Amino acid sequence: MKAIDASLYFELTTIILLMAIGIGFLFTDLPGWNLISISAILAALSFTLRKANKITPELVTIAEKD
Amino acid sequence: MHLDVVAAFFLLGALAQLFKAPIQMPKGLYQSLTIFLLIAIGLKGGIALAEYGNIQLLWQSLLVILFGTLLPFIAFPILRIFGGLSRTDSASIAAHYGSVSIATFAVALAVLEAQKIHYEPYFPLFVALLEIPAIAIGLWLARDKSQTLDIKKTTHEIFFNQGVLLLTGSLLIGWWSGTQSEKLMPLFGNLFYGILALFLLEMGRVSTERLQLLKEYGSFIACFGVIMPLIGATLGGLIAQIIDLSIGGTILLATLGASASYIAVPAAMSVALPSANQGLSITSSLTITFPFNVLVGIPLYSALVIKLMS
Repeated sequence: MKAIDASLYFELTTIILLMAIGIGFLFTDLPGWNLISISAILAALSFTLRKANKITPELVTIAEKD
Repeated sequence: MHLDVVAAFFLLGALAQLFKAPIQMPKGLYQSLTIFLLIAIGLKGGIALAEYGNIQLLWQSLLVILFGTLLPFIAFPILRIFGGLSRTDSASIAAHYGSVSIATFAVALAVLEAQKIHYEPYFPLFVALLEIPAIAIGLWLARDKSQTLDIKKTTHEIFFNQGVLLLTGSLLIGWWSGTQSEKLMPLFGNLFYGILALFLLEMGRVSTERLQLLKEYGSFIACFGVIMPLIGATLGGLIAQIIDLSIGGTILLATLGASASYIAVPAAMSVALPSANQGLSITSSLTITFPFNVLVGIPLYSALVIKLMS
C-alpha cells in the first residue's frame, strides 16, 4: 500500500470517527459539537492540501528517506 | 462550549497572532513562566506527597510508568504505516506523545479547581514519572545500527532536562520540607493562575504562528495530532480505573495521556536523534495537540468522566 493511500485512509477514518463520536456525544448530552467542528476542519484541511497537491511529494520524500 | 477562564487567554493569544497584533513576549519571560509553572506544580505535589503518601502509591506509580511506555508503541506504527514517515521521525514523534505537557496538566488543574472537583493532590508525582520512559522507548524504537548514540549526552538530556529536573527537584523539596514550603505559597500558590494565563497567552500566539507549517507537513499530521490524544485519553481513563483514582484523578490521567511534550522531549531528541525532523514533532504536539486539548479535549474528558463515574 502506497504511503499516500494509507494516509488518506487514515485521515478519512479519523474524520468519520470524530464525526460519529461527536454525534454520539450530542445524543447523550455531552459536548459533541466540538468534535464535529474539528472533524469538519480536518476534512477541509485534508481536501485543500491534497487539492494543492502539496502532500504527495512531501510524504513520498519522507518515506524514501528511510 | 464551556471554556475555562485561563484557556480563554490561549484563545486571545491565538486571535492576536491571527490578526498580527504585536503582543510578543520577550523569550526570557516565556522561559521564566515555564520555570515558574514547573516549580509551582512540583512544590504543591511534594507538599501533598508528604501528607498523603502511602504504599498504594508505589503500585499506582508502576502502572503510570507502564502507561507512559505503552503510548509510544501505539503512536509509532500509526506514524510509520499510515503516515509513511521514516523510522527516526516516527520514533521521535511517538516519544513526544508518550511524554506529557506540563501546561496541559496545569490547565486541567485549573479546570478541576474551578469546578471544585477533588483529585489526588500528589498527582505531580505521576507527571514527573511520565516525562521519562517515553524518551527511552522513542530511542529504542529509532534504533539503527548504522547510527551511534552518545549515551552520556543522551542520558544527561533525559534526566537533567529543564522539565524533569525542576519538576522532580521541587517535588522532592516540597516533600522534604512539608508545611515549611507554605511560606513559598504566596508566590507559587496564589499567583499560579495569573501566571498560567500569561503563559497561555504566549502559547496561543506561538502555536498559531506555526499553523502555516501544516502546508508543508500535510494533513496527516493534523489528523494524527487530534486522534492520538483521544486514544491516550481513553487509555488514561482506563488505567485510572485500574489504579482506583477519583473522578478528578481520572480526568487528570486522561489529560496526561492525551497530552504531548513540547519542552522536555524536543530537548532530548535534538541531542539523541539529531536526524529527526524536530519541526514535524513540535508542529504536531504544539500546534495541533496542545490547542486541541486546551480548547476541546479537557472540557470533553471532564464531561465524559463526570457522566460515566457519577
